[in-house]
Amino acid sequence: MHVLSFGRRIFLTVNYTVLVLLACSCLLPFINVLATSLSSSPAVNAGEVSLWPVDFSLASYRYIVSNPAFVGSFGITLERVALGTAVNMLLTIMLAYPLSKDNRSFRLRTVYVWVFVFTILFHGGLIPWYMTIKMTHLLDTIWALILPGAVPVFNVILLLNFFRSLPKELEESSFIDGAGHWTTMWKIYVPISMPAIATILLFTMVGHWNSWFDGLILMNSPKHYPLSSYLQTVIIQMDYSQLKQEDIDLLAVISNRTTKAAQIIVGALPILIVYPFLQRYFVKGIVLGSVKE
Amino acid sequence: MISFKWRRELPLHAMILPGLVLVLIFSYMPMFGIVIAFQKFTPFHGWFGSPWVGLKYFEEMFNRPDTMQVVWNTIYIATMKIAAGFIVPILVALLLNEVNRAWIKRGIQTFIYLPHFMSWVILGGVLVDILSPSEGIVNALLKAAGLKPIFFLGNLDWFPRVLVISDVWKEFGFNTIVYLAAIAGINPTLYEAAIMDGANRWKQTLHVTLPGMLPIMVLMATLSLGNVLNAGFEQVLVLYSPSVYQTGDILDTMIYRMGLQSFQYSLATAIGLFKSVVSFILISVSYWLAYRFANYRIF
Amino acid sequence: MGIKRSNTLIACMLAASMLLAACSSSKAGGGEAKPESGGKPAEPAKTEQNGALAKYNPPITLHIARSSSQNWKYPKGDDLNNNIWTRAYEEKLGIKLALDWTAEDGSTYDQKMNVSIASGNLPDLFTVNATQLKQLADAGQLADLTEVYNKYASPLTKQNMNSDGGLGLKSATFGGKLLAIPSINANIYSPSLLWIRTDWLKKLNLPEPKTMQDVYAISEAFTNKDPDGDGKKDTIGLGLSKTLLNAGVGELNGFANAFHAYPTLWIKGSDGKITYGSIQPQMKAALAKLQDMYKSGQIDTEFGVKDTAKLGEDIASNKLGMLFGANWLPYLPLIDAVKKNPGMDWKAYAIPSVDNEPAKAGVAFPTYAYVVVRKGYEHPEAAVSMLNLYQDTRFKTPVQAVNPFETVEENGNRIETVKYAVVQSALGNDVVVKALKLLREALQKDDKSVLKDALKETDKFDPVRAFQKNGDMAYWSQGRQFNAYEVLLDNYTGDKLLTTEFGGRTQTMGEKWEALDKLEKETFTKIIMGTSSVDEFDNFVATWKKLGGDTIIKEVNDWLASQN
Repeated sequence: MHVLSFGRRIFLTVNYTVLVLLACSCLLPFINVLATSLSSSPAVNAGEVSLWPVDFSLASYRYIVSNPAFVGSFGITLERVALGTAVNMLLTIMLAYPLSKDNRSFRLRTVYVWVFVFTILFHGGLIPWYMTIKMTHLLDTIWALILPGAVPVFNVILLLNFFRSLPKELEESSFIDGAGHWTTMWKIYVPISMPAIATILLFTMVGHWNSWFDGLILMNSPKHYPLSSYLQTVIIQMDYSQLKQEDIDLLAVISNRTTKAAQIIVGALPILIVYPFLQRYFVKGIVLGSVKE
Repeated sequence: MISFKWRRELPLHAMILPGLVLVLIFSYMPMFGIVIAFQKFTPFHGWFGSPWVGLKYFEEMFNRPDTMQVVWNTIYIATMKIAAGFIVPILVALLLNEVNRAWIKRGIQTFIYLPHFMSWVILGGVLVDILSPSEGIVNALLKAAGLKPIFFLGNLDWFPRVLVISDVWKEFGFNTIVYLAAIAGINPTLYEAAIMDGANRWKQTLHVTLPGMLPIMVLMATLSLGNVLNAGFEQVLVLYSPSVYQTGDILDTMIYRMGLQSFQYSLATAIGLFKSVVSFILISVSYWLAYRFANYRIF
Repeated sequence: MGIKRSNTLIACMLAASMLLAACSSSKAGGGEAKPESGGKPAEPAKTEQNGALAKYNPPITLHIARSSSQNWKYPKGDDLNNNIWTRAYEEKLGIKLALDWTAEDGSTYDQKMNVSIASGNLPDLFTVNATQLKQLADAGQLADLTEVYNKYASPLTKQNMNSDGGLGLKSATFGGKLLAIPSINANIYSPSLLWIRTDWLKKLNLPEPKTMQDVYAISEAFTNKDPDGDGKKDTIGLGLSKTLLNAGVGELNGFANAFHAYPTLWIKGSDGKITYGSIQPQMKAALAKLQDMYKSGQIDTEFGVKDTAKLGEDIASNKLGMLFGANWLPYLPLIDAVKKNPGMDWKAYAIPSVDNEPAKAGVAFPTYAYVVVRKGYEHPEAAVSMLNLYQDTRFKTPVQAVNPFETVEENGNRIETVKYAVVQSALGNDVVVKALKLLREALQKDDKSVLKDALKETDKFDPVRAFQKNGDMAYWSQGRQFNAYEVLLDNYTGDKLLTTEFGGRTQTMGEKWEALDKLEKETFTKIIMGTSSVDEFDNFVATWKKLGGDTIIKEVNDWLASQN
C-alpha cells in the first residue's frame, strides 16, 4: 500500500463525508416510516413522531400478521416475483445475445432491435391492452402479471450493450472449440457477465415487486392482488367528499397511519434485502479475470 | 454461401422467436387501438362504429388556454430531471468507486437505494414537513444562515426545482447501480496498464473508468430522451396544489383530472400518441446521429 | 426511459387508467349473453309467498360486479361470496350470485368499471357512478327498469325511494325511462358546519357565534390572544385544507354559505334559470373576506399544501381552533387530538349569516351510485326484488335492535354485515330527519322505546347517553356528533337545505369541465393568498363563461327542462 498523498487524503475525506451525508438523507425518511409504524395512532396523527417511536406499540404489526388480505397478497407477490423473474431473465438473455451480434454476422439484428424498441415508445392504450389479455384468457391468473410484460425491452438493450463490450475473441475461440450459439451464450457469455446479469436480475425483481397497476386492473378480486396492488389500495389518499354516513366507522381504519406504515415496511423489506445479497457480484475484476488472453 | 449464412444465423433467429411472438401479441396487437385518437370513440361502437374526426382531439387539446403552459411545464421539469438524473448517478458511481472499504461501500449503496422503494404518497407527507416555512428543517437552516425562509411547495419558481431535486434524490441510488455494474465490467488489465504508465487515480478515472462506462452512459442518455414529456405523474399529483398550477401542472396530471370528469378515450389516446411521436423522433435522431458521426449503434 | 421507465410507465398507465385508448368491442351492441341456469326465455313462475318478495323457481344465476373492501370483516366461515345476504338472495329470492369481479371501493372500482364498460364487457347487474350511468345510457346499453320498478317495487321500497323528494329516481331517468336504481342518501348529513374549540372559547371569554362578526372576532382572538397559553404567537384563526371545496375537513363551503354563496352547486338564479354557484357575486364577497383574514395571519400561509392529515396534526398540536367541516369531524380528525390533549373540546355550530337573512346550507347531489342492469338480461326485475329484500330486512318498523343483516357481534367485535348487500339504497331526508328527531326525543326522555319508529341511528342512543350522562370520553365522538345532528335538525331542514339542482354530466362538461374546474380552484386559491386581487374574480367569471361555461349552463337548463 502506498502512502497516500495529501491531495488524495483530502479527496477521500470529502468523498466519505459527501457519501455518508447522502446515505443519511436517504435513510431518514425510511426511519420515519419505521418509527411511525411502531408508535401509537394518536401520537402519529398529532404529528409527534419523527425519527423515534412515541408511545411504543407493536399493535400495527400484530394487525398485519392477523390480516389475511396482507398475508395472501404477500404469497401472490412471492409467486409472481419467482415466476416473472425466471421468464424475464430467460427471455432477456435469449434476446440480448443475438441482438448483440454485429450486423455482418446477424443481418436482421437492426430490424429486430427496432421492432422491440418501438414497443417501449408506442402503446395501444389501456383498453386494447386489457382486451388482448382477456382474449388470451389470462385475466385473473398469475400469468396475466407475467406474460404481457415478459419481454423487458429496456433490460434487453442494457444487456446487449454489456454483451457487446466483451472481446470478440471469446466467441471465436468458443466456435473453434466446436460450440454453437446456444452453448456459447450459456457457457461463456452468461457466466462472465455476472455484474450485468445481477443488475438486470435486480431490476427485474424490483420491477415485479413494485408493479401494482396491472394487478388492480387484471385481477377480478382483491384476494388475487399482489402485495403492491394491495398496498396501493391501502395508502391511496382518501376522498372524503363522497363519504357515506354508514362508512364513518371505517374512518379510523382507513386513516390509520401506523398500520399503513407497518405494511409499507413489511412490504418493502424482502426486496430491500435482495440488493446487498446481489452486491457480491459487483466486485470488480471477476469478469475478465477468468478470460485467458 | 447464402444458405450457409442463413444456417449460421438460424439459432439466432430461434432465440428471438419466443420474445418476438410475445411482443407481437401483447404490444403490437393492442397498438391498433391508436386509431381512436382520430375517432370520436364511444364504447360499444368500437373502431368500426365510431365516427372519424381527424385531428379534432389534437386541435381541442391545443385550443385549451393552458395547454402551451402545461406542455412547457412538462418539458421544463422533465428536461431538468433528465439532465440531473443523468449526471448525479454517474458522479455517485465514480465517488463510490473510490471507496476502498467494501463494507462502507455496500452500506452506502444499500442506503441510497432505499428511497426508490418509497411511494410518493409517503414521501410527499415527509416533504411537506421538512420544507415547511414555519417548522421545516430546511427553512430552519436557512434562517440560521440569516436567510429568509422560502415556501418551497407554494412558490412558483421553487416548485419545479423541488420536483427535480426530490426526484433525483429519490432515484439516484437506484440508477447508480447500472453504472456500478458497468465499472465492474471494465477489464482490470486496463487499470494495470494505466498504472504502469504512471497514471494517478484521477487519470485512471479519466482514461479508463469513464471510457469504460461510455457505452452505458450513451445508452442511458438516449433512452432518457424518451421521457421528455414525462415529468413524473405520481410525484406531481401528490405535491402540487392550485397555487402552483401555473408552473407545476403537467400533461399527465391534466389528463388525469380530465379522466375524473369523464372517461375520454380518444383525447387521452391523442395525447399519448403525441408523446410517443416526440419520444420516437428524439430517440431515432440520436440513434442516427451516433451512427452517422461515430459509426456507433447505440442499441 | 429505462430504469425510470417503470416509474413513468406506471404514471402513464394510471393517467391512462382514467381514460386512454380503447378499441372495438367485437360484440358491438351488448355484452355476451350468459348462460342462465334453467334459462327459459319466459319469466319463471313466481310465487308470492313472501309478500313483495317473489322467488324464482327454478333459481336464476345473476352475474354481478361489485365493490368491496379489504377493511371489511366477515363472521367466521363467511366471505364476500357466501354471507347472510347472498344466502338470503338465494333462499328468499331464488337468485344465485356469480361474482364476475370485485375491486376495492372507490377509485379502484371506478377504474375497473371504466375498463369494463369501454371493452364492452358487462355483467348482468352492477353499480356505476353518475358519469358511467350517462355513458351507458347514451350508448343504449341499459335495461329499462320503469315497468319492473312500478310493478314489483314494494310500498315500503317506493316510500323510501321517494324520501329524498324524488331527486334520485329523477336523476336515474333518461327520456322518460328509469334506467337505474339510485342509491338514495340523506343530504341532511351533508352541510358544512362550523366547528369550534370550546375550551378556547371559554378561556378567552368569547360568546358562542351568532353572527359572522362573532366568527371574525373568534378568529381574530384565536390568532392573537394566545389561546393555547404558551406565550407564543403560533395559532391560526381558521383552518383551510388544500382541497378547499367539498373537502369534508377544513372546507370553504360553510364559510361561503354564510355569504349566501354556494360554490360548485347548480342553483336557481333570480330569473328562475339554473346557474353555477361559484360564479355569483356572493362568492366574490366571501373570497374578499378570506383574503383579509389571510393577510392578517388568521389563515395558515401554508394552507395550500395541507391535506386532512396535516390539518389534524395542527389541531392536535394546539395550533387550530376553528374550521368548517362535516358532522363526522369528531371521528376524523378531532378524536385523536382530544385523546392527546385532555381538556380539549369541540362543538359544532350552525353557520351564521353575514346579514339578516339566515344562511342556508348548500349541499351536493345526494345520489352518486346507481345499480344498473345490462340491456338484454332476461330478469331485470331481479334488481327490484333485491332492493325490496334490502328495504324489507332493514327498514321494516319497528327496526330490530339486533339485526344480523346489519351487524353481528363475534368475539366482542362488531362486524357490519349490511355492507355485503349487492343492491343497497339508504334512506332519504324525510326518513332520516324523523329518525334523528326520535333519537333526540329518546335521549331527552331517557327512554329507548321512543326509537321503535326510527329507521336509522338507533345504535347511537347508548353511546350518546353514556357521554351525556356520565361524560364517558370513550363516546366523545358519538356525543359530539349528536350535537352536530341537533344543529342540523334545528337549522337545515326544509328550504334551509339547498340541494344542487343538477347531478349529471352534460356533453360539454365531459370535454371542458376539467379546464373550468382548474381555473376555479386556481383563482380562488390565488385570491385568498392575495397573489391575485379580489377583482380578478370578475375576469374569472368572464373567462369561465367564455371557455364553455355558458354552453354548459344552457345544457344543464335544457336537460332539466326535458325532465319536467
